[in-house]
Amino acid sequence: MIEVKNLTKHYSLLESPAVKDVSFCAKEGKITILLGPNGAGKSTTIKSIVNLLNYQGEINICGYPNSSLEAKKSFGYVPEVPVLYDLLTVDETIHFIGKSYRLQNYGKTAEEYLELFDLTKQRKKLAKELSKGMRQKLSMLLALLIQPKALLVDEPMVGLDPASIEAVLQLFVRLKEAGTSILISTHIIDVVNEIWDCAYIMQQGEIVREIHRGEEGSETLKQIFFETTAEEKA
Amino acid sequence: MSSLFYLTFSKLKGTVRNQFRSITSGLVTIFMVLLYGAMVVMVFVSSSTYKPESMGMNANLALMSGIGMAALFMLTVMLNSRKALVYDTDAHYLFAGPYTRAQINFYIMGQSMLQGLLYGLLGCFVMAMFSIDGYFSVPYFLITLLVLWLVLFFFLLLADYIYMWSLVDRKHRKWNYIVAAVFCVLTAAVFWVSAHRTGYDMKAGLLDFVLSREFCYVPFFGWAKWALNAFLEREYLPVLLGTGLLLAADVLMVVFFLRFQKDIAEQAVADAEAVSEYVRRVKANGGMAQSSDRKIKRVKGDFPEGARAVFFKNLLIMRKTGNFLRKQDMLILVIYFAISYVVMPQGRFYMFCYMMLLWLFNLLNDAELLGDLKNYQIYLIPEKPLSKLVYAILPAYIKVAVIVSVSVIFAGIFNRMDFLSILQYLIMLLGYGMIFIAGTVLSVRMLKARSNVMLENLLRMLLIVACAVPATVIGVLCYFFFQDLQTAMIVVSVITLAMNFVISALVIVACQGMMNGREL
Repeated sequence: MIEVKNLTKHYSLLESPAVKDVSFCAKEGKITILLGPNGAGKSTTIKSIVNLLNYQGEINICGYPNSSLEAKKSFGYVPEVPVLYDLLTVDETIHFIGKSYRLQNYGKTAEEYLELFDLTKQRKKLAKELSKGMRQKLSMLLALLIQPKALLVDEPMVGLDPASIEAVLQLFVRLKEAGTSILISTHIIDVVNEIWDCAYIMQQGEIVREIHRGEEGSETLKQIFFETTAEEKA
Repeated sequence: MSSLFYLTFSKLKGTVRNQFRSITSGLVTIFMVLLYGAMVVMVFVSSSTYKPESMGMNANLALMSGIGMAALFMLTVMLNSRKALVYDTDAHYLFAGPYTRAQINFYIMGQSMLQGLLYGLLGCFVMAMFSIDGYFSVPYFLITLLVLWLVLFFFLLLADYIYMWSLVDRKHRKWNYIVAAVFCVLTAAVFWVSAHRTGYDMKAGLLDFVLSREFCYVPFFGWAKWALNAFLEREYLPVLLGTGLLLAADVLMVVFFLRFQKDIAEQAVADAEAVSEYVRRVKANGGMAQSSDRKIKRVKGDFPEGARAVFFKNLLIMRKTGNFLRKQDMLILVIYFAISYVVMPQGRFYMFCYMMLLWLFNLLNDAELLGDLKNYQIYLIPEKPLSKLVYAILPAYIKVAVIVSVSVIFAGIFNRMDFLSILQYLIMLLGYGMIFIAGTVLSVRMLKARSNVMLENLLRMLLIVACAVPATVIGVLCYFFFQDLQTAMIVVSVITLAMNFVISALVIVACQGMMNGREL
């Protein structure tokens, strides 16, 4: 479970906060979506959760403070733009993460995801030789390699082809069913329309609406999003 | 056209604004400006009347250092194979936007003007620092800046002009080499005349070369020296003639440049994208281009568990890039060894060690280390922050330790130094190596992604000062206690050696929190 309490993030003291007093929870076995237009604070929220930013507030992952080793062992993070070691091959990158996280028998998991992401033939290639989509898939593979209890994904479908998008969506559902908390930040609603359980709509650094599946009535998530963001703008 | 002026102005404003995005970065910028500004002001404050008989040699040496820097810059610009007129964002706006060819050329020329001015200022700074006799007055600074700017602007524009023609037909690229070769040959010819005049005594020949009238016949650089020498000697006609020649050449170049009308958009944009990508990768790599472009060896490696994997990962990358012992590092060390052998027969070993210190300063702007400290993966690894930091910096330090140890021991044995001297200088260099690494870590800790080479070097210097403070205090106390200067000096040097390690270690321990990933 990912718990965020009163998260506030200032990039500059002279400017208004990028995220303002945000609190929410991404539960086990649920897919939670952070929705919002560009600049709403979604990526800042995710980066704060994985402790890559300084912030005010309290964040716990699986019951541990996000800066603790226990928390770090339990979550996987897929950034919007993959940052890989360009001079390591796909195989070496997998081994590096596997060993540095002290994972046991990660080879089988790696094989499974290499197959799923169609990276088997690329395993001897250097990361810098991979295409944008392949890099994104490798980044996702690394996050999944640790068999995380919580998965944080920032704009997961950027650069992926339709077949990969479908595979990733099915994977998210599978992980959810296995009890993983999944937090996805996106502004492309159509992609997550089928899989979301809970959605938080963000605008100008604040959560302006919380919806759980079943509460949307006859409206689609997309319609609710546009209504909410239009109201807030007005 | 006004939009292009607006673009130039906004970009300048943005660069300045970026430096003040955080309080630390802003304070460091102000400190650097004040530091370098004060150095220049000190030169102006202490300015006195130029006396050719007593100051001539130093003034000419300072002049040649500024002109030499400009010449080196010219050679770099002309021989650089990776060329583009502008960066990719500019290229897209310029070539796709509603601008005439002349307007585009004018904008590109404006960039060269600014670049020439910046490098001209740098040349002036170098000359001011070399002007120890205090003749560097404000008027001399202004005329130096004008002359250097005229020289640099000409070559920047010429390089762009040749590049544009090379896009029309690749055979025009040869003109870059021809121009560079002409200057090398002319300079070598003047040097040969000087060497011949002094009976091939290299040291005397070099001094004669600096003072010789023949150098003034070398186009551009000679004219610049002619004008500036004449200004110091208050002979204003040669000042006008020298500057006039440069100005005339610049005007001619501008006319040719602005009249260029060929369609080169496609390749110009492609080159702009390639160069911009290259620059981005160099920046991401911590200022080093080598590993971005170098051929990668297919070597295999294994990783142990935990934070040690970071160490082995960096070693593997070093083995792949051959970055552990680079050819250029070996070449520099051989050159240093040769220089120390020729220049200072009485103290070859000491000179070599101090030259190695300079080399360390540059070597430790380490690509792998900076790359590691800027990659989020390392922050997420569930290990103790101090272990991760130590294992991240260890490969860079081992590299230094191995190269320094081998070089110092070899130089010591070759120069028949006693064991204690070799050991003392080895410890000194290893200590400074550790300070330089600590400076890099501290710089990333303070400025994060805005960390840069200039700040790293500043922090390193501050750390060196910090290391010297306790030793000096204890040394002074020893002097009062024992009343013996020699004992006090030994105490100061021994404690300084120890403090280099202690303070560096403290800095690294103090910075360990950054490995938790806050504010990457």
